[in-house]
Order: sequence, then C-alpha cells, then structure tokens
Amino acid sequence: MVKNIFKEKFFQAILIASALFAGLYFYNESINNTMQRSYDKQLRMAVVGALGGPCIPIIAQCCTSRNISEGIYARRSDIVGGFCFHSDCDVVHIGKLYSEKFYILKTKK
Amino acid sequence: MKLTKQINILLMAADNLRRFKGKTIAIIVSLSITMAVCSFMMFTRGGFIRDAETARDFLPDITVQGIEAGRVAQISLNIIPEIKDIPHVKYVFPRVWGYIPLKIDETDVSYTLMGLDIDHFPHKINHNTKNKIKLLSAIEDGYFLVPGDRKKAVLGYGVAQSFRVDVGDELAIAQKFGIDVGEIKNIGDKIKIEDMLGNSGEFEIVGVFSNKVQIYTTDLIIVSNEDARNFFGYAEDKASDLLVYLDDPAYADNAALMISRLDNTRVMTSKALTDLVKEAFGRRGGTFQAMWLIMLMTLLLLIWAQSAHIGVDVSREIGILKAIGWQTGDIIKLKMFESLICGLFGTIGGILLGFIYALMGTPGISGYCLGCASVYPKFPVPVSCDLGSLFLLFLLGVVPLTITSAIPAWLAGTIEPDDAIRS
Repeated sequence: MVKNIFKEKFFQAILIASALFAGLYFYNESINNTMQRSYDKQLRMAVVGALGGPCIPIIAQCCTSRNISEGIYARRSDIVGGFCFHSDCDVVHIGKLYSEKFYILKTKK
Repeated sequence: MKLTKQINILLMAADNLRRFKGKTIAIIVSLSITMAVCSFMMFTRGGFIRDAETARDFLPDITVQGIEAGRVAQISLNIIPEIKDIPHVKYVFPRVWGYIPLKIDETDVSYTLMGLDIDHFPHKINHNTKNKIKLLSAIEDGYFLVPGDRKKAVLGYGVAQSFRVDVGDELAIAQKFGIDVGEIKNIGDKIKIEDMLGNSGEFEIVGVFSNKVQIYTTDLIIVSNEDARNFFGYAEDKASDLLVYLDDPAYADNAALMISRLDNTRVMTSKALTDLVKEAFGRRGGTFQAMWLIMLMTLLLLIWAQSAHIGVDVSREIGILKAIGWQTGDIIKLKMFESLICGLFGTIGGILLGFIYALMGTPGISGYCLGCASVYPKFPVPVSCDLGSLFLLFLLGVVPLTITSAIPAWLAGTIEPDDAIRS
C-alpha cells in the first residue's frame, strides 16, 4: 500500500524537487561556502586580511541625519566602504553642498 | 488497516487535486511565488552574514579611530607607543583612507581611496604564504603593491570600469567591433584622480582586483599610506585609523577596553564590525519579511475564501461519500490532506525557485542589497541555507495553509448527505 504513495505523481514531484534542492544545497555548501574548498571565498578573505577589513559596501543609512528609526548609531559610514547612499541625501556625492536636496534652475530663453 | 485507510484518503486527496486542476494550480503557483520570495531573501541574507562571520577571523582584532568633538576624525600616530604597551598587542598599523566623490560621465560616484602600510603588511598576510598567494590571485590584471611602491594604485573592478581600464581585453574587443568606448587605459598607464572636494593625485595603475572579490573591493583604489596622505592632505603624524593585531584574539575585549581609556579614541573589535554587517542585513531582511508576510496573509485569505465556498459538485461528492459510509472526520481529513499536499508542493517548489534565484545572484533586486554610490557591482552573491531556515520555511508554508483549510473542511464535512445529493 505504501508503494502506491510513491506511484502518485504529486509525491513523485515533491520527492524530485526535494532531491534537486538537496543536490544544490550540498553543492553550495561544499563548493561555495566551505573555506577550504571555495576558491572565491579564499580570495575574498585574503583581501579582507590584506586591507584590514573593508566592510561590504552596503547602501547604508545616512550618518548625518539623526533619524533614530534608521539605526544611525551603527555609524557605518565611518567604516571603509560603508558610506551613505540615501537617494535624498547625496552627502558623499556632492561633498561641498550640505543640503538634503538641491535643484539646478535653468532659464529657457 | 488504519494506515491503509489513511493512505487511501491521501491518494484520494491527490486525485481530487487533479480533478480541480485550475484551483490546484492557482494555489500551488501563488504559494510557490510567496515561498520563493521568502526563501531567496533568507538564503541571501544568510550568505552575507556567513561571509561576514568568516571575515571576522581575517579582520584586525581591534580598529581604533580618533574622535574630535564627539565625531570621528583623524587619529594621531603619537598614541601608537601607548597602544603597543598594552599587554598582548603585537602589531599596530596606521591606515589612511577616505571617500572621493567623483563625477564620471555625468554620474555621481563615490569611491574609496585607501592607503596601506605597504612596507609593513598586516601580519595575517605577511606571515602566511598561502594568504599572500591568494592575495596575488585576487588581482585579475597586473600585480599587488609591493614595498617601496609609490604613486602606484591597484583598482577595484568597478573603479577600473569607470576609468576605462581594459580588464581582460573587454574594451579592446568592443573597440574592435566599432563600439565607442572612449580612451582605453591599460596596466602601466597613469590615471589622474580629481575629486569634487579639490583633492587630486596621479597614479600608475599596477593592478585590478578580480571580479571574484568585488564584494569587498569594487569601489576601492589602493595606494600606499604616503600617497593617500598626500592626496587627502593629512599631516605626517595623522592617520584615519589604526589596525591593532593581538597575539591572542581572546584578549580583544580587554585590550579594547584599555585602548578606549586613551583620550579621544573610538574602538571597534572585529566582533563589533561583524555585528554591524549582520545588523544591516538583518534590517534589510526584516523589510522583505514584512512584505512577504502581507503576501502570505493575502494568499491565505484567498485560499480561505476559495475553500469556504462549497460548489454543487463538491457538495454532491461529499453527500455521496457520506451516503456510502464516510464519516465527517474522514471528509475533514480528506480536505486537510488536499491542503497538505498543496502546501508541501508549493513550499518545496518555492524554496527550490528561491534557492536557484539566489544562486543566480538575485538578478533585478541585487541593487537593493548592495551598491557603491551609483555603482552596482556584479559579483557572485554568497548564498547560505541553514537547517533552521528550512524548518521555518516549511512551518510557514505548510502549517498555515493546512489550518486555514480546517474550518471550511469541517463545514463541508457536516453537510447532510440527502441535502447534498438533492442540491
């Protein structure tokens, strides 16, 4: 009777999908995530070691605004690679212009 | 006998799903999409966090920054002897770095110019030949800076592309086919960097970091400490931060506490830096989770509405089943088995889709997770899937769906057989 379950197409599909996922999972674990086997990871860590740890360049929250809800206290922009990318802020983009937004007015003649 | 009965009900549930193909496909497809969104987010976040945890072993044990009027500022090199006197401190290296806002092709970009103490490399590289070889392998074209190199720079992949440095002959090939790629630069050529703050410098390109290490280097321009100092106009006795290496990382907290007692210093241990990355990706994951929860709730409501409406066919079928001796409990079980199969099928399909999408580098939304100003690096996104996440995904995908179908199943199961057949 149990054999009939395995003949059922729904269960066959679930088993095949599970097997495929397991295959990808073990591939990812052994090739991409294991330090000893993942060449890419070894390269990344050698760079981190050499440069003294630049952080992953996250599009981080702005350090100049004092918005507590955005977790400013992390102060990521004080870490290499962790600068601000607030679309409205542009603190790093326009270094000398301390304004949240700026507009260029053009006059049509 | 009991098991045989359960299996029979299960098989009949599978048959029922096949009979109502449209409804089954609609539930499975929408559940798969919902679970795929949740799983790729979980797996990508897990990958970044795992990478950050691995990187912790390679970070300096303590990073010391200077504080001026409560804000991060330059640090005086005069405190190095005081730090070196602290027990277990082995090496202290100054580092000079800063952001350089540039306008390239009408695009505002912000890169990081980073000076290294090339003559005294951090010991984690210097004393480990394997790491040294790996570092050299991380350079796609050219070589890494060697002691004595001045006015020379190693560029990140993103920077190299912005400055039209021909990495892997891509630009040369494009030019051969008549595509206008501007003036191509090669290894050995000089680039002049003038940022929007008025800092400028000319550097010979000696190497370009490989695509494989873009996650850390895409926006970096690596030069010697002296060159960085000249570029940013730092005084001889100033640096951006100090990298402190201990003889035993177990003493990091104690050493950090002692350094923090020095005036105007801000101290970050490697654990604190790792926690910052975790926190950042946790928050991003949280945003996605909130969106995903809304998706799941909508889906469950739709399934509830669909199941609560008992059509004439279903009603007649239930009536016949009850007339031939099925109990109300069996009908409920049948309906719940239908939901269980749909839930399992949709969840495993969604997890598989999400995993493949994450392994492909989350095309289309990767910019949400990472980026350097206007530059969105293209690099293999680390993906990690732990058993806890898998368990949670199955729990979220299967259990609510099965429970949602319980009450409609009970309503269906309590129909009187003669009423149902007559209807």
